[in-house]
Amino acid sequence: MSWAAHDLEPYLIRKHFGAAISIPFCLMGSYSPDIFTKWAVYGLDFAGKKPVVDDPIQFHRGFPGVGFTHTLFFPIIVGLIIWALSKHRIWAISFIVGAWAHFLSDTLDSARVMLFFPFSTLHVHLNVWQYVGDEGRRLDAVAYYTSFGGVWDAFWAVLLLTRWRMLTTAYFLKEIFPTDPFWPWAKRKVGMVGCLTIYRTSAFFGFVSIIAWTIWALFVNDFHPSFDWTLGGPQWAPKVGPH
Amino acid sequence: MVPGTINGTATNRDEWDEAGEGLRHSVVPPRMSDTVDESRLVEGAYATGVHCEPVCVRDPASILVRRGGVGCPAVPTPDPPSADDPQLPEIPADVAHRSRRQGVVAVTHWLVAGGIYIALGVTIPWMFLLGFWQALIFVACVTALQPVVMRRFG
Repeated sequence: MSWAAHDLEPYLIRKHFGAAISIPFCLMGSYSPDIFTKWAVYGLDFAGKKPVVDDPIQFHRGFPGVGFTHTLFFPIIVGLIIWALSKHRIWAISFIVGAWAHFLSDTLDSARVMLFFPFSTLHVHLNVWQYVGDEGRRLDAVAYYTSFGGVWDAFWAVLLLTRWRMLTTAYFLKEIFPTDPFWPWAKRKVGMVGCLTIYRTSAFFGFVSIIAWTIWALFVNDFHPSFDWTLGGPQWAPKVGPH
Repeated sequence: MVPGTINGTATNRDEWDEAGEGLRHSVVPPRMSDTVDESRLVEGAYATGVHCEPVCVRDPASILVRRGGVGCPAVPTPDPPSADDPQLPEIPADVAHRSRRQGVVAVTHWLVAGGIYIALGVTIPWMFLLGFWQALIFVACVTALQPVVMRRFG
């Protein structure tokens, strides 16, 4: 599980692949595995005292559960639906690529991802940092931003920072707007300010949330407020994974 | 390349004016080289209210004809200034300075906005840091304010 990496990866994918990628659909793909299920993992409050499901990790990554949203197969199905409805292949491909980038990040935690479901329930994981989602948002934030999870987010932020010009109005008008049919449609609905807002919000949120969560975890929060850059850390977190 | 041009196409507002009334208001994003500070170009145009809205059609002539409307004579397409055109003036120092200043103001505007959001997020994380959707209204306000800030400080 990653926090801000999912917000930032689509921009760098777009920068690398150019007009073959639609930023809004790549972002949708990047968000899609978690957007309908993460609230149930964390529970209904910030501290994680109001759980929704008995076994959040099994629910989120396993099967039975909604672990199928974290498989290579799932975005292909959704992408085909997008293609059938919109007739825009670029949107379908962007959605698939965005979701696959999400899975790449998620394989780095300890909770594992069923990449090859429904053909196999093999859980792929690299165990670089601990998944602490079942302890609620608060402890998950502490664990993530004091471990290699935060480093992973910072890696993407620095990469995007070196390409900051792609977030300017000039770049949007010259490179993004004319190459994706989504934007003329969006401009008719929400105007140019709305388009720029849609375009920039995830990047803006990605940058500021990394800094704000790190400050919060180290200087505001009082539960293990120190970095633990050990493989599989933080070491205080319980070792978990789906059944 | 002649200063003030991008691949032989005029880049600043004054030169668009010289290129013709039509071009000034119906800008098709020109091809730009990597050596040009693009943010200064259109950030400034956006800030100063110049209608620099791109279209998916890359043919400037078709846009100019369409602007004339039904029954109106088509506006002739002016030839874009050539890089070899000896009459093309260089960018005046004050224009270049203003353009650079607008870029700095735009970046500073977003840095200040980021700082404010970070302060809000650290103070009330559950209200500002749980997902990108919580930043949508904030980013919309910052984006909408950018032209005002650019006019005031740029």
